[in-house]
Amino acid sequence: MGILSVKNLVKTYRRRKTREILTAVDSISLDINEGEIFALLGPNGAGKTTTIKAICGLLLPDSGVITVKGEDVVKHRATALHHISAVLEGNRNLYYRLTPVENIIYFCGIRGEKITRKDAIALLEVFGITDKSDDLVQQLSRGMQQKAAIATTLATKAEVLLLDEPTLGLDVSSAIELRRLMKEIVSEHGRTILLSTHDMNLVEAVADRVAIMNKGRIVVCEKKEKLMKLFRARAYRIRLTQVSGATMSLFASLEPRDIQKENGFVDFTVDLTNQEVLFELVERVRQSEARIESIEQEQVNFERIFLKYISDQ
Amino acid sequence: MIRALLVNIWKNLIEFKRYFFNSLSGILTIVIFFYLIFFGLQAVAGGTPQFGDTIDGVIVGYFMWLMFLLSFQNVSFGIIEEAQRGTLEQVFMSPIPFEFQVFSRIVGEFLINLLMVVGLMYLVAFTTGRSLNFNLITLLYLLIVGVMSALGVGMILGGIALIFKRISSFIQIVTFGSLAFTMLDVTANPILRLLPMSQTAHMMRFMALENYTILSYPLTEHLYLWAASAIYLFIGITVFRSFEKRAMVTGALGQY
Repeated sequence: MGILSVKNLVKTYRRRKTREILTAVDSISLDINEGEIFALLGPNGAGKTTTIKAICGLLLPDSGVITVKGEDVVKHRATALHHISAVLEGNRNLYYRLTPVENIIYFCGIRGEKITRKDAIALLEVFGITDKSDDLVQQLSRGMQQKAAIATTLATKAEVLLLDEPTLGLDVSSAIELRRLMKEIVSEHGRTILLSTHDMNLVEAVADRVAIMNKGRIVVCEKKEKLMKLFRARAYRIRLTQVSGATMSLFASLEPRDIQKENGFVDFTVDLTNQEVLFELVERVRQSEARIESIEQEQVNFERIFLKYISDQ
Repeated sequence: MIRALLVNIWKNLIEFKRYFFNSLSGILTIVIFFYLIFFGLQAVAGGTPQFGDTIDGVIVGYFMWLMFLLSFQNVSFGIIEEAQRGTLEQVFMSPIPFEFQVFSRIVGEFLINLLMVVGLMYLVAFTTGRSLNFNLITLLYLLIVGVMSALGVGMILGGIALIFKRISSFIQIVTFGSLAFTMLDVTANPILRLLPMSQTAHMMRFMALENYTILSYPLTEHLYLWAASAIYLFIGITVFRSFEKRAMVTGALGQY
């Protein structure tokens, strides 16, 4: 069993007006290993935040068991919460009228943990915001507030950090900086990160394993590299010349996408599940007047993997 | 637990100091409001010999009511503000129970309010030509025990705030309603003694007008005082917990 384990988690809500029952999380199970960055990916309303909040003990599940280091979050809430710290919904986690250092001291204090001012400043140094340590949080930029929020989480002794949409509203450079920090949190500080996000670039850059959620269920849960490899092997970008109107209909069953017509060439992408299909495609082209100019294995990004799984649902 | 208590008190002090102008404005409003009441009363009953005797009672009653409403308003408005800001969930995620965090904040706010209110009380007594010669220990005893019922009311309102969020108008109604509790003549019916702060107000009037000390009151008076405070504190914690559980079922903690 991993450091964080979710077994058959179910959470439903009742709509206020219609009294209709909505299933936000539908019997999901996860096992997150120590020292990994695990990403929960999904469209709006997929159930990611509900899952994160249930893990944090902020939501009572209808059924299922969540354990952190073997401690049940519902039955032994206090003990379990010692192992968890979270940043929820971007920068809405700090007291605006306190400084980052005061926030760190306060949030450690309310967990019964002690941190000195010196240690708090040293931690802010990791995030490159030492010079802002005595500014009020409300005076910081969004990116700095986000870094301060994550620093506050890291300041606790919790082994598992839950980050809900950590790059929400950040500019490109801050988002890239945050990716580096997240890797550092795991490698240098020995923590485990559970990430919930829409940001495919973030997932691609930092995640070890990925679970894609849709409509409250986990559609796929795999190592990121394995998913990338799987899709990389499937996607081909094909360039044809001398294409007549009827030629493209030969490829209809392969569901070509990203079709571009330019200077007598037609480019499109198809997913080929096995070698047989590739041979079949070549055969079809041979039967037509068209000629193959090139076939290249496409560089796959996580966005495509995500869309594929979501559209299959 | 001790660290959580201290750090909550520390946070209150920082915010009080950092926003001193705001705190000062609040204090000035309190004093101005008092003078309006005082001079209003003087205009109506200034010529009567009894008025001088009741001034002490008015001063003590006003500041006790203030202590009462500051206590429950801070709890409920604090929860509303934190739900809006998003920090409420962070505090909830602490391994130390939320009720204890609220209690710690209340202690911090109580200390600040107590220093402020007692100081102001002597200031207005001085400026209105009265010397408050009642026993300070008795005053503190009554305020500390009495205010526990206000905290219970605050916890009830805080619990309601967790679910319904926008309850500022309701809190204002309770604020004015609380004035009635402190004005009631509890000798008419013993049940009235069990209303929040009513028994405290009654004992304070005796302290101000009859120079009662902590030892002068009959035992039953103390029992009513403690019983009323314990009842409301207990009801407050119970109601808060049930609303808290409801909020955790419906996911209302992070919504505003």
